[in-house]
Amino acid sequence: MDDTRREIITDVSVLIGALIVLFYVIPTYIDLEQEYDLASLSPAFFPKIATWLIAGLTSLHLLIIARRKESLGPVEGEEWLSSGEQWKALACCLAIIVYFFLMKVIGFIASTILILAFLFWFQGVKKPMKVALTSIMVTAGLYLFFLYVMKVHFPKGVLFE
Amino acid sequence: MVENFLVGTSIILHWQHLLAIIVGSTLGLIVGTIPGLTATMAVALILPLTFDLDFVTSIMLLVGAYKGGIFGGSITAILLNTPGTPASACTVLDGYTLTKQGKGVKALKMAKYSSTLGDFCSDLVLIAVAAPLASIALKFGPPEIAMLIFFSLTIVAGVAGKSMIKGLVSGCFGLLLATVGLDPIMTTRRLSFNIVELDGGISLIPLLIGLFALSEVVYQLGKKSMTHADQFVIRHSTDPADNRVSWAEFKRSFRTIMRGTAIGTGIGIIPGIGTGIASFMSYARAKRVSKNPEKFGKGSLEGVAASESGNSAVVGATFIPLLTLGIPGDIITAVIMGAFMIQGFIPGPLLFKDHSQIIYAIFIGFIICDIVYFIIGSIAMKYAAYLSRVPRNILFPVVMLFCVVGSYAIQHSMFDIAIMIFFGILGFFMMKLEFATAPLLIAFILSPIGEIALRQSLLMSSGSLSIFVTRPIALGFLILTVVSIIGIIRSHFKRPVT
Repeated sequence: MDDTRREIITDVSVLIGALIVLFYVIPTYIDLEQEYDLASLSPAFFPKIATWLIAGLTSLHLLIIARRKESLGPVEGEEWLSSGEQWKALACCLAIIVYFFLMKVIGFIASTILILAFLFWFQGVKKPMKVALTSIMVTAGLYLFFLYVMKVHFPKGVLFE
Repeated sequence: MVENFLVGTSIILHWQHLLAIIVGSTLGLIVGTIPGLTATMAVALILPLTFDLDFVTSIMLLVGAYKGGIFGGSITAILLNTPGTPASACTVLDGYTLTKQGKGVKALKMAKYSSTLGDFCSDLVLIAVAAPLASIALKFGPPEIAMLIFFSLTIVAGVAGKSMIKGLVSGCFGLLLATVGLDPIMTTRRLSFNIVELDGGISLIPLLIGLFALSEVVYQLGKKSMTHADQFVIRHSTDPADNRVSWAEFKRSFRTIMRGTAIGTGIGIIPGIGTGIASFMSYARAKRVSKNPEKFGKGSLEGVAASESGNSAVVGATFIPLLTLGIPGDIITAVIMGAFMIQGFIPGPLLFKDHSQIIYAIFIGFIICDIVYFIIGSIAMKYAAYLSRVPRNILFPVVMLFCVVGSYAIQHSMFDIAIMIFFGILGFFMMKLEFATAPLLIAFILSPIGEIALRQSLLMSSGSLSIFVTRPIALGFLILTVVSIIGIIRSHFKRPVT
């Protein structure tokens, strides 16, 4: 994607987000029924300032980008991740989200062994024995350290509680 | 002051505190040495482990990790052409060239001497300047505090990323995020979306672990080519002169080290600029005034000294705004500020009034840290190549696990893990879209103080903004803010197009 186009899409998205916060989120999720003598006493005062600033600055950035006659050129893949690598990173994000929900159901130990095994395999560790052993050892080590040294009790999961 | 020093010394010499310095420095060195792991990540991941520790122990553990991490980064920069941390990116230029010439050990030793000296001098400046500055800061009222925070956020946002506007947007987002929870004046619920866990606001630790550790882990997990350090062959010279820094060589580089220290200290005091820029500025200055500028980039010991003294001198100085004004100098001090607050200490001028002996204990701890990482650094230099051989396809999933465990351990809350994952993914996209994350964190931390100060100021003046121009110190900060904005915009326009 062209860098200018990406910047415009980002700015428009941020601007829409800021307007939603200003005209929906703040009136809905801050109690504005009480009237205040001074605007600065209102709980919405500071969130509104911050959001207006976001909207204003994004508009300014959008204006600068839109008025720029020359395109910024293509996005440089060498500096960041290539398209394939970005999908790989997103797959890891998804795995971490799944891990979170899995932890709630089957508990810390089982879900951690599973996520570690998946990530090791996904990162190119192909020997099943190495994947299994490393996942189990890391999970056990961390679990025992936090349980006995830090006195942290990890979730057991709704299935085992 | 002398009494504070003596009591401070007796406090810091407790075995627990010394152990914390050694453990922190070692962990920092290890993390700093491994490419892809940063000093920020080290401090963020160690922070949850400090909850059960006493205040001085926890701060020393984190400061040790900070200092060790910055130095650790230079080891792989010199030996493997891979900066362990962004702070040592400049050290690569001459450090790795020296390694290719078989003088890697000489470069490492010069890096060690200049880092320790730069850091030590910066700590002395901190000790000398902090208390007098704090006594001035004690006179600040709400308008002055509001303008000071406004000034700091502008600087942080302006210099943290490629685009000043994006930096400011990021900072404003941090301000907005910090308003989630109870209103500090009216105690009304704000933006908590009827989620009980959000009534107390967004927890700082999961936020910073997500933004600075998980986002980096996701990035590294996405990378296809995972280079292994064992691809590199480190050449060692058999000539003893190539494996040590002679007194004459040290003397020749001494002025460069002192210049780098001055630059690093100056940059450290200004919030938000950080170690990376300090080392490049110090390097550029050293090259400009050197009698042999043509040697820079081709294996100049002075180049290594300039870069390393510059980045290490930032460390002590970043604590000057933190301890005297309550303004974090960079991301790592913002994380350490979080540790202060978790332990019930609010960084700022009142610390010197209420806990002066503890503060002086920490100051002396800084100096001990320098000595410790000088010693541990010598050992780490021998094993750095092995450390960087840790298979990255094993390392980053394990670091991800540390992020999860660290976030959970604070309050035993699954919600904190969710927060961490949310900010991890947000941080990843911010990296992609070139929004600097540092302004978000610093604004998030400063927002509650800034909001109270701003609203109190407006209450004092019955809603009139004139209060910010009728009080000399507040006006001074306002002028400084305007001047800084103009300066940053001018420097952006002057920047060469590459």
